[in-house]
Amino acid sequence: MLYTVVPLERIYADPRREENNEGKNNQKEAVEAEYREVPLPHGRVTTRRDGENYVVERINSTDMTDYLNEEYSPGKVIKK
Amino acid sequence: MQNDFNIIKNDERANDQGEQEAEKVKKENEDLKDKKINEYGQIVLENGKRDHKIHLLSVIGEIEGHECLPQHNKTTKYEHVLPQLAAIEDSKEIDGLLILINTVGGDVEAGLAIAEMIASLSKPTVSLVLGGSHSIGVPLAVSANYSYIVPTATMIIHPVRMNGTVIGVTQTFEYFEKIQDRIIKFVVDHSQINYASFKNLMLDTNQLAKDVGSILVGNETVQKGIINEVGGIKEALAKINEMIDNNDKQKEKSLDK
Repeated sequence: MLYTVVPLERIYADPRREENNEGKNNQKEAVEAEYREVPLPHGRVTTRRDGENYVVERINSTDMTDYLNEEYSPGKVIKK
Repeated sequence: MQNDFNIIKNDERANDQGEQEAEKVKKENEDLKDKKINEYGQIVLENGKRDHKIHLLSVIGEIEGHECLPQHNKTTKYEHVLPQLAAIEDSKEIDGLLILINTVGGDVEAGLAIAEMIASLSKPTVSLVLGGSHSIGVPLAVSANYSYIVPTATMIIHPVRMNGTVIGVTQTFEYFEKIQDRIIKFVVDHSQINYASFKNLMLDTNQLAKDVGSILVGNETVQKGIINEVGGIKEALAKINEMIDNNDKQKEKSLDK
C-alpha cells in the first residue's frame, strides 16, 4: 500500500510503454542497458555496461568517504 | 669490488643507526607518557580531538516496498537499507548515523520498517529534512534521536489512500483507519506532537484545494512539535558529534564506578 504525495497514475505510468503505443520507441528498447552491481563494505556501486567496460552510474553507501573516492565517482570506467 | 662492499656495509650501518635512534625517541616518548599518567593521572590526546566515525543514510524518492516500481521512479529500496542499518548497529567502528531525507513517500510497511530500524538503533542518530519529507517520510524524519529541517523544506501530511478495486464495506474503512493509526502512533511516540493534533493536520480541509491534508513549511513543523529544530548540515553534524561525546562520557563514568 502506497502512502505518497505523487499521484498513483504517475508512479505506475510507464513513459516507454506510451511511446511504444505511438510506435516510436523501437530504438529505445534496443539500447536497454546492462547493469552490474559491485559490492562495497558499506553499500554498492551500480555500473552500466559500455562495450567491454563498465561505467559507474550510481553509488549507494553509508560510508561518507566512499562518495569522495574518485574510483567510485559517476562516469568512472571500471575495467572488466 | 672490496670498496663497493664497504660502501654497502657503511650504508647498512647508517640505516641501523637511524632506526635505533627512532626507536630510542619512541621509547622515551612512551616512558614520558607513562610517567605523566603515573604522576599526574592525566593523558594528552594524540590529536586533541577524537575523530568520530559517522555514517550517512540518504532516503530519496519513493520508498519502495514489496512491489518493484516502474523504472522512471527514483526509489529507496528496503532490501538495501535494512541490512545497512543492521550492519551499522553491529559495527564497532561506527559511532553514529546521519540521515538525509528528501522523499515523496511510498510503501507504508517499508517506510515503517526503516523508521523502526532507525528508532531502535543504540547509536546516536540525527535526521535532516531537505526539500521535502512527505507522507511516510514523516515517520522516517521523526525516527531519529534528534531531527532537523532546513527552512525551505516541506512536509505534507494527508490521509492514506488506496488504488485499484476497493470493496465498499465498513471493514475497508476500518482497515484504512488501522493503517493510518499505525503511522500516527509512530509519529506521536517519536516526536512532541499529540495524537489529536496530528490527526487534525492529516484531515484538515482548509489547505489542499482538491483533497484533505496539511502542508507544513520549515519552522511550522518545529512549532507543531514534529521536528526538533530548524537547521542545516552544520547543525546536524555538530549535534551528532555532541551526542557521541556525551555517550562516551557516560560510558567512562559507568566504567569508573
